[in-house]
Amino acid sequence: MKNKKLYQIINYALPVVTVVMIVIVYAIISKVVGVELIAPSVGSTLKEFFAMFGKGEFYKAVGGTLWRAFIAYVLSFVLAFALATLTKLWKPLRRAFSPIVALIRVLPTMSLILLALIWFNSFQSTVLVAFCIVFPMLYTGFCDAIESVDKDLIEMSRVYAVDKRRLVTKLYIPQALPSVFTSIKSSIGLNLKLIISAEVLAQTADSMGLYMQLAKINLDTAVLLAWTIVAILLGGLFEGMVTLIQKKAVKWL
Amino acid sequence: MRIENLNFAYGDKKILQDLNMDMPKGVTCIMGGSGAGKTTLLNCISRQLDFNGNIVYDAIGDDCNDCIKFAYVFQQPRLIPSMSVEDNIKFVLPRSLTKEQVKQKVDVVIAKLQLEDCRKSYPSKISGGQASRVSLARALVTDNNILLLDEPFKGLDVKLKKDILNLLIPLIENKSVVFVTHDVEEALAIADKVFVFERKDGEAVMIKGCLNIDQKQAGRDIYGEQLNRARKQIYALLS
Repeated sequence: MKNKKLYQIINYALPVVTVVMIVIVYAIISKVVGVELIAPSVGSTLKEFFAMFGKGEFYKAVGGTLWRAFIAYVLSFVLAFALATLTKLWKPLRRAFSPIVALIRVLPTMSLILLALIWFNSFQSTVLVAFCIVFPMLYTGFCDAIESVDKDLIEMSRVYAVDKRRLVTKLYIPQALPSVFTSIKSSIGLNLKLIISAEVLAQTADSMGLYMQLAKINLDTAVLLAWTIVAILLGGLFEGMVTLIQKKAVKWL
Repeated sequence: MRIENLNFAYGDKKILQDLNMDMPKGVTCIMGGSGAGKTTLLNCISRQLDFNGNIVYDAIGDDCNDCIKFAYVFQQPRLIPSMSVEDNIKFVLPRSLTKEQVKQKVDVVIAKLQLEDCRKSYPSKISGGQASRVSLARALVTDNNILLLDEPFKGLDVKLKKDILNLLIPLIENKSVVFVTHDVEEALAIADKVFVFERKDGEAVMIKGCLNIDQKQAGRDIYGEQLNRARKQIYALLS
């Protein structure tokens, strides 16, 4: 019993220890380099980080980035889900879509961003860039999730003429859900990263990417690092939320 | 049930060719070596495979093939891991039934197959014997016309097989059952008619022999004179 408790404490403490270690290693590097412009100290980075919370533009930028990330992710999710379901119902559709999905998947991100910037406004181009990367990821993940449903159980349900609604709610959803959540977890953070990358190049107004770019131009590395910490925290927050929803969903099912 | 000129092939590979069988009400056992087409026949009967020929379900009539309800006990129990034993049984019941009707039906099969202890358990937490009984309970809870059993006791020890067979026999009286097995003792305990299949390399399935067993007269005594004679005949056909 005592061992179990100790194991639990270690289990929770280990990630914290890792983060502290990274900060210590960075602090050492910063000390060795000794140039604030290249590797600002932990203190000045944290000072910039906390100072940002007092500025209205910070919330505007975070809000703007999150809004674009939300639009891109919802679009990718809904379309990927709809398409994966349709291709399951009608197999030739999967073959028909495969070249499009393959093309989007191999499209170099940079050319995509630059082309999008030529063709669309900054809002549309950032959303499009994230969509073009996240959508094929989610679509492939959802297709695999649907395919991962046990064929023997589907065959059993067919023999017993189980009605479609029950088949979907009691068999397909619970069986496919773990793979669906894996896809969501691996894509939700990436979605935010892509939005920020596109914002940097598109110089989107009210965006984290714009402030990062400004910090770079002004050689304000501490501010750049502070924005990076915000992006990391947001990404972690999303993944944490997905894990929480997954736990609730498993209980509910 | 009558099978008339049944043909089935996997691509160019002929499995069943002009197969004719007469299966009266009761338990018809299909025996034969591995790859002899036994499971393929069950899959044709349950219409999971597209075949040529006729399967006539006498009790229902030729004009209502869609009215046939099958229950199928597979080689593996095929239980849904995210559902409890009770919910696995409920899963195959039609949605048109009321909650009370569902509960009553499930309670009956759970009691008959002695599954009370594990009704709330999940498939990962039950034994192989219990899983086999759940699979049988799921088949018996439906109002099926034809019960198909494909080696349902595969992998179970002799005692467990005997116990489950003893539970099963009274539950399938007056039902049309097609029972696939490799085990002669299982067949003797349950069958009213036995078909022995044979399939040589590259050829279609042929019926090597067929025998009727009068279980009433034999008293289901597998060591009695009648069933001993049947045992010898089956072994001769299988060898």
